[in-house]
Amino acid sequence: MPRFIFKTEKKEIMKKLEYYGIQELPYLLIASGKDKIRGFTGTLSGDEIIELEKAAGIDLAGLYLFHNYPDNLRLSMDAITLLKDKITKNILELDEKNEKQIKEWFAGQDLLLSKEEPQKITKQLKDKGEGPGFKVIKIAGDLVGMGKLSEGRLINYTPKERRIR
Amino acid sequence: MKNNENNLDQGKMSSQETAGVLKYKYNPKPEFEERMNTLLEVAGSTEKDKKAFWEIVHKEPQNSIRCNTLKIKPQELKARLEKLGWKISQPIKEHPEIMIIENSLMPGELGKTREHILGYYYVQEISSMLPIIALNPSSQDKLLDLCASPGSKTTQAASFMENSGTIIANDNNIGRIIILAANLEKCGVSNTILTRKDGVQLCKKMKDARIEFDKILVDAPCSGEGTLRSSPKTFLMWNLKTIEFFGRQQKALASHALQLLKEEGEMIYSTCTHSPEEDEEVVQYLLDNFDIKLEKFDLPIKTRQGISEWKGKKFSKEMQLCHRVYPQDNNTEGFFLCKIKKLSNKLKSN
Repeated sequence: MPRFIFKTEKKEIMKKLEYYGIQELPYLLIASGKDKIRGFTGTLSGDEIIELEKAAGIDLAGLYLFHNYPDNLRLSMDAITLLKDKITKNILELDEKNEKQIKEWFAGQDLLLSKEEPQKITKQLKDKGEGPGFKVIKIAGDLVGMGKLSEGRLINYTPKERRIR
Repeated sequence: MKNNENNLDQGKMSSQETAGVLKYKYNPKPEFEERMNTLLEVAGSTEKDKKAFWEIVHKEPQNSIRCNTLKIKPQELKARLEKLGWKISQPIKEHPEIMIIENSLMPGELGKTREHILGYYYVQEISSMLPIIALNPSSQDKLLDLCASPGSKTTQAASFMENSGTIIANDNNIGRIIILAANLEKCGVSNTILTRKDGVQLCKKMKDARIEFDKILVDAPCSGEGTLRSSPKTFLMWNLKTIEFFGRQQKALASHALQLLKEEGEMIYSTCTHSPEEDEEVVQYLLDNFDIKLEKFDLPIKTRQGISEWKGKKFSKEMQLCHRVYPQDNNTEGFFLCKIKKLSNKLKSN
């Protein structure tokens, strides 16, 4: 049976989404598995979805939006593209001229930042008043995925099936 | 692969090196060749046209893609792909999302671009885009896609519907559902509910729950005679028993789906095969048993009308409203589709 996320819980989620500057989320939120949250934009109401579940069983509904951790959220690769106009914070731009790094990113590899890069990135973050943690990765104008920045390393969350080999 | 080929006695194979021609050429089984020639004659083919058919089925299909308008505008995608050195054409003015890559590509290149990984386009054969163009679902519609995997038509419908309305996308195999789910995610589809059921059983359960749809797509599993260019092994696998099996399955799927359609609702029945047992004969079965009519609709490529007779069986005159797509007419794969309008819930047999 789908578990819908209503007012109180959604309020908590919206609070966590402020980390990315997201102010509104026009989706019916549905818990999926332990920590995954999916978003449905169809016109079926929650009651109609439950009716369908009773009648036919539902495997999945809507789009995987994010992983809900106790203190924060990690957006999914596709939620990022759909929410691109709403994401204003914690965007980390990689230098598209650094072909080796860009290739590694799209191959799904974690990035070990060179000596100079942490300084550049620290400056980028400092200018925006942001710290380490989850980052929406931007390359050549595209929001391409999620990373987690910590101590000279950018952990790559690109799903296996979306890596370019 | 080779072992299977050797086990199939009719599958004589010869190697070809010419660009654009399939690496391995499988000869059609004589019975298939004879049936196809008869069918082409019924459809008004000249000797030249028949020759064109047998030539093109041994050529690789052209590379066609559909821009995923949920994520990017067609002109923006076109400009990006041209920067990669690709020559892009948009052959259908009313559908700029449909693009053909005119230059030759390296094997696997279509699936390895950043734009593909980000879900900006979907690799899809043009004839397979026709059912959704014909159905034209809107953002108010409730749509059932009964045999949805791998999701090319579901994702196309979601684009038409701008991620609003509702799509119920069903398939009955866990492996195919996983592929379908992955494709929906990649395209950013958020208005869809996935179910994993045998199509007939799903329809029965939804009928019991009085769930109805404005539009339905039954893109039925079939013998795949239209996909010879992309799946040449169909030459080897072809047999009459398979056609008979699919014909029975298609009648069951389409007739149960029709019962979920609202009055005045529209259903597209389509296959990627030429065999009349899976096409006109199924449509005739529906006309004989339900209060429906076939609707006239236009498609943006050359098609031929459905046939009126096959192997002694006569079909309704309405069959001329069906569309047959032959590969030699547009340099596509082969396809069949028709649009059915439900007039009432009455059953003719009652």
